Amino acid sequence: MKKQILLIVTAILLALNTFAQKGNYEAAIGQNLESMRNAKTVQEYQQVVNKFERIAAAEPNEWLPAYYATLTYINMSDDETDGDKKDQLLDKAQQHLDNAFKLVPKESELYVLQGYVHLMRISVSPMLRGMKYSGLAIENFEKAKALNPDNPRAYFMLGSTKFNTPAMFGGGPEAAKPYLTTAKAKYSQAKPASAIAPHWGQKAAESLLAKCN
Amino acid sequence: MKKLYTCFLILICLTSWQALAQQQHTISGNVLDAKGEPIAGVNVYIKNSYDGASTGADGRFSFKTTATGTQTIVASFLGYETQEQTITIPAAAPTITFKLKEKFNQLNAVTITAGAFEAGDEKRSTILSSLDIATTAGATADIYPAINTLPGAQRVGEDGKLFVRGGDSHETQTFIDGLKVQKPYNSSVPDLPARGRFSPFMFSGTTFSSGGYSAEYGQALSSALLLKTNGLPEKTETGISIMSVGLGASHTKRWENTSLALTADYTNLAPYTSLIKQNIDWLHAPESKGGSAILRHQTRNGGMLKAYSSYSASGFELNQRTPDGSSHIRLNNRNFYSNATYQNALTEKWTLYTGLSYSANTDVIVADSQNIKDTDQATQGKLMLEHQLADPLWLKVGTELSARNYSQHYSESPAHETILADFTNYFSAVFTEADWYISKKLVARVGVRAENASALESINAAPRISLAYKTDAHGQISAAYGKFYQLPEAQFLKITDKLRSESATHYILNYQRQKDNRTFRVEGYYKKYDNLVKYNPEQPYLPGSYNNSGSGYAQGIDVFWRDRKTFKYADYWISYSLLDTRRNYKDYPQQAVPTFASKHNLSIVYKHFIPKLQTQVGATYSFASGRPYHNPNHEGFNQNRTPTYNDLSLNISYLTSLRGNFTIIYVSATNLLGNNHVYSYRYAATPDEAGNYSSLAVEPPSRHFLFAGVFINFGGNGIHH
Repeated sequence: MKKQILLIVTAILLALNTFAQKGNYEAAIGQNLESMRNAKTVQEYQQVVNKFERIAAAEPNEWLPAYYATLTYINMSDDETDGDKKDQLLDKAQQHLDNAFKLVPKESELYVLQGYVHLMRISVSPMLRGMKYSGLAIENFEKAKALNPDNPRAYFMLGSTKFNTPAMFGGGPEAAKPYLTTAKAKYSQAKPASAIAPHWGQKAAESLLAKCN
Repeated sequence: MKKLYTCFLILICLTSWQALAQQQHTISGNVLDAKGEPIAGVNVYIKNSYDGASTGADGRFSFKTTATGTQTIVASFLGYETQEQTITIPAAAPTITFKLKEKFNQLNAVTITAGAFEAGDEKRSTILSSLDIATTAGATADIYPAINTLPGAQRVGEDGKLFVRGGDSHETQTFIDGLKVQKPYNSSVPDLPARGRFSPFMFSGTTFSSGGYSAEYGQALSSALLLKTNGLPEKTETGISIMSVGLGASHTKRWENTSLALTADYTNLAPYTSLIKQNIDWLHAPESKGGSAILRHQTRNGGMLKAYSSYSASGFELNQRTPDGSSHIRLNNRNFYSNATYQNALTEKWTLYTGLSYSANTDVIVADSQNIKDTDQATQGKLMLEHQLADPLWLKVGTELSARNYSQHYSESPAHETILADFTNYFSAVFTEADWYISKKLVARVGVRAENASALESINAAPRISLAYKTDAHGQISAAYGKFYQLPEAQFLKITDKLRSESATHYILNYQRQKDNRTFRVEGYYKKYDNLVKYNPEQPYLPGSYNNSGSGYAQGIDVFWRDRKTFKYADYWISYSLLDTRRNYKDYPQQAVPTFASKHNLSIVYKHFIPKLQTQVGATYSFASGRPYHNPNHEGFNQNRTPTYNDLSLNISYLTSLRGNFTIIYVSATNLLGNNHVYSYRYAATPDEAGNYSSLAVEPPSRHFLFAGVFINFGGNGIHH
């Protein structure tokens, strides 16, 4: 009897311990997402991305840390003006994204980011890269949409790409509007799987939609 | 009760153990680079934990951890090698110092630029892209005239081929994916310019080397044009082109890891030559039919297989004016070209490259009573391994084998016997080359190439050395030395096998500065020619009249400036070449400036994009000082100079969508100023009664070349920025 109780207690404690760790993981990401929202300088972004990288290294079976490291690198590349450095940051983003793909190859959110990385590549040299990477980006956004038709970010990114494409190539505000309208509806219905599941883009989508009217 | 007590005790123990574990220790230290300067933003953390921090501007870090015992501390940062240190917590030493080594990365390292103009579609720092080639005014979407706007290249209008730094056109070789192309130009006859066989859109990278190139390439005395074909296309699409000179269609099918593209084209200049006044009396305007197939496959282990085949049949017929009257010429050509390459990383440090090519070309030329049939077949195989010996040391070893069979049947009507002149040559080469990054600022490339040709029974060893030194973030100095060998031309080898390879020695010094989309380059060179083939023009059919006693030199300065920044939506480049060259070769009686060399060459290429109209306007101005020609009415040799060459060409491309399909409407015109272009003069074989040789100017087929076309792409939902 004594042994049995001992076993039960140990089991409970171990479970509690794992639970605590899990909570710790979510808290760490949640905290860092807060830092990401507040980050303004390169140094602040660097701190955020470093922390996501640490969590990603410590949690090799979780895809969210790699996902957020990718997203942070994308944001950092947007602020960078030097083309070579932009490419370096996007290479780093791609590295983390590839790791995430290994864990969850059919995750719609990863295809959104893949398309996003391609879009950011264009800005390094629009003349040379525009054609190739805009095609690749759209391909990935479409795939994200196919994998999860309720993912608002797939519609938002498609709408945003359309918005930035000249009207004569099938782009412009009018072409973007249906995508952004869908995105807005999907955002309002979206129920993130957890507090740290991807949930960005709603405000940006709505303000872009406002520009279409 | 006792049981409960025990449980309680265990619980307390465990909780206190946890509490003990929660006790925090501070880890602090700093991160420096190789020079001892602090690095900011470095991620320093305990391996497999969340505990860590980023270094500040002073390179310092400090964080708290609950971990104890032996732990690994990691310091990692973009652009640096990640480092680990093992420590025991609580730490004995108060601070930890990391010294990070900069990661070796070709992006920010020095590159060898002596002699080489690299053009790729991806790299931002490239000088020319495929798109630039396709949209250069005056180039009419042909690779070679576009390359002609770069310094070092000469304008030789009556020939259309690439002449580089005082070298004859056969001294420049074209390589597709590392394999030599036997016939890169369409077949032509003297005084009618040839065009390149390959569309610039096939290639995603172009390197134009005007000297001092890698030991991987041989059999080119002056210059190598390296073309790299596209990888897997992005999507399935169909294209149609309707041009003033013909029609074209293409279809590309893309699967997951494979793609197949088929093209068909038909050109006929008859409608064009009847509309635009021609200097030539065409009996049958140039006409050609052709097609190609391009296969791409990416293997599971990351290898890339590329296969390409093309076939074309073309011909024309004309009455060519000569100083003695007129000559009737007909040409028919059939050309087949095929290549296949495979590239794969065997391990992390070894990369394999293999390639195989085959080409067969037949020209049938009827010139008055002479009938000539040329057949030329060549097969080439290449195997190369690249090995990263150490971080900054790359080694390349490879071998190349080729066989070439050339034959010429010559007869004179009526009913003369056929004379056959032919040769077969088996050629083998081995090469090795090392790229050693001595530091991020200094790189050395040392290579050697040994070649053996069965037709000549001679072995040559060609050393190649290049150095580059980065003077600051944007500038660098580069130097190159190399020895280059090339077999004599087919026209000599078909008659005699008692010749040796021709040779050239290059010395190049280059300075390049690139900053903010502006590039400045200046390059000086000296090139020495030896063993050039000479023959006695009185007895061209006697093997004994050929020898290798010819020689020559070329020296000069090339300047290049490209600016994509100063004017919004505008891009321009200026190339200037100063050339001093003399040679004694072929049937020259003495050393002289060759007929293809002009002392000054200038090109100004300007492109302007008007976003509102979705239109790109391009203009190219070219200038070349007069070239020598031999006037038998005067003393001396190659003593006269043609008038200077001035040309202004314009093109307009309008991007639009036709029923939702991406469409380009393209118009181009050469010689807008209406200059009278004289490339050379031909003289009568015999003097007239007054003792004068009558002459005839060699001019372009028409004063202007006008071209218009519509290119439509049916490609689904592709969007273009």
